Amino acid sequence: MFRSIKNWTSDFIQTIKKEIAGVKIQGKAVEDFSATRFYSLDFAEVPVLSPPLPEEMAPVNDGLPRELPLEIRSLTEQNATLTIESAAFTPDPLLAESASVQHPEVTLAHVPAFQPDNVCIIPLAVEQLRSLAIQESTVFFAPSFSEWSLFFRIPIKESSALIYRFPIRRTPSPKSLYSAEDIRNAVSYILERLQTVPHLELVGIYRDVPINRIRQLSFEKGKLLFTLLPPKRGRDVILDVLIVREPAEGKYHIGPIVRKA
Amino acid sequence: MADVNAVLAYLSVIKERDDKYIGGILATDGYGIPLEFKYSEPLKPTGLQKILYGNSIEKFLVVDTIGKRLLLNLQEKPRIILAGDIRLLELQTKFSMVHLIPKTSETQQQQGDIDSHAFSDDEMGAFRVISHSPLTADEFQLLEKVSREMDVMEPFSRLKEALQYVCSDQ
Repeated sequence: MFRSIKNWTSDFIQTIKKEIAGVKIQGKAVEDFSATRFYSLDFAEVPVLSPPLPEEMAPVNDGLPRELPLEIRSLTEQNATLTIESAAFTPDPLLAESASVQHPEVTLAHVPAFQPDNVCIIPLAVEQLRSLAIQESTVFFAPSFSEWSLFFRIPIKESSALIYRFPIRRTPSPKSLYSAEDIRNAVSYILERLQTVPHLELVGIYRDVPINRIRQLSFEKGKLLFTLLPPKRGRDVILDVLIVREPAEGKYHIGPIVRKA
Repeated sequence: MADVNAVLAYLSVIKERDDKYIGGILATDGYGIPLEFKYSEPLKPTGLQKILYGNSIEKFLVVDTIGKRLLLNLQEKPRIILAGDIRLLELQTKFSMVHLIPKTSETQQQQGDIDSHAFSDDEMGAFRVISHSPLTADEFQLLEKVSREMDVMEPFSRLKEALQYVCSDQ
C-alpha cells in the first residue's frame, strides 16, 4: 500500500513538473521582491462614494397620488415688464490701472457714470493707434496682368496732295468794287480770243484766284470752286477774274482783272 | 491784295459718328492757298480708356493729345492760328490763337457760354474774335485784311472734308 502511495506521489510530482514547464509567464519579471513595499491604507483618508440610500431614491410615500389632475379655471393675462435699475458706475481701481497701461490717455475715470440708455463714446487716440505695430502678412499670388495702354499714340501724317483734292471756294465780289475800265479790259481780253462775238452772260467776279495753278474750275450756286495743281517753282500768279458764260455753247470764259491799288 | 507772306493756320479736331477722333492743321497763305497740311490718324478710344478718362476724354483727346501734337509737328510759322473749337484755345502755344464766331442769331446765344474772364472777346466785322490774350494791333489788322479778301472761314470746310475723307478711307 505504501508502495502504491509512493508511486502515486511520484507520479503526481512528475505531472506537476510537466505542467509547470509548459507555463509561459508574460510580462516583466519582478527583479527583487524584497524591494516591494507595502503601505497600510488609512480608511479615514479615502472618500467614500456611496450610492444614495434606497429610501432616498424611492418615491415619497406620502399617500398622495403622483399625478395630480390639473384644472385651469381662469387665465389672467399679465404683462411682463422689464425694469432696469441704473446704478452709478464706480471704476475698479485695478481695472482702471490696467486700462491706462494700454492707452494712457484713456482711463476709466474719463468714462461718465454708466447709464443703460447712454452710449458712451470714447475718443480714440489716433496717434497711439498709428504707432501700433501691425503685423502684415502678404500672400503672393501669381496674377496674369493684361497690359493696357492708357495713353494715346497719335501718328501725324503730312499730305499736300490730299488737301489739293478739295476745291477752294470763292464767293463772288460785288461789281462796285471795280471800275468800269477794269471790267471792260477783262471783257475785251476774252473777246480778243474768240473769233465771233457771241452773247455772253456775266457769272461773277472772283478775287485772288491763282490762275497759273488751276486744275479744274466748277461753279456751285454762284460760288467758284477750283482745285489746284501742285506748287511750281516761283510765285503763284494771283489775280481777280471775271467769268462769263456763253449760253449757246455752254462754255465759260475767264478774263483777268488787274486791280489798281 | 492780302499780304502774300501772311500765314494762317486752321486747326480743327472732329469726331466722326463711329467715335473716331481725327484732327488736322492747314497752313495757308493770305489767299487761303494751302502751304502745309498735317493730320492725325483716326483714333478710336477703347472702352477701358473711356471708362478711365470719363467725361474728360473728349477734351483730353481734342486739346491735349491731337491738337497739341499737330501744333508740335507744324513746320510753318503761322502768325495767327484759327481754332475750330473754342477748347483748343487752351493749348499752350507761342502763336496767337483765336476762335472766330460768326455774328448770327444762333451764335449770339453762345455768348453766355463763353467765360468772359478766361477769354478776350473782340469784334471784327461779321465775327467775334475769341482768344485767350488779346491780339496785337498788327495781328488784328492782318486778320481784318484777310477776312476782307476771302472767306476767312472757308479753309475750315476744306479741312473738314479732308479729315472726313481720311476717316472714311480707313
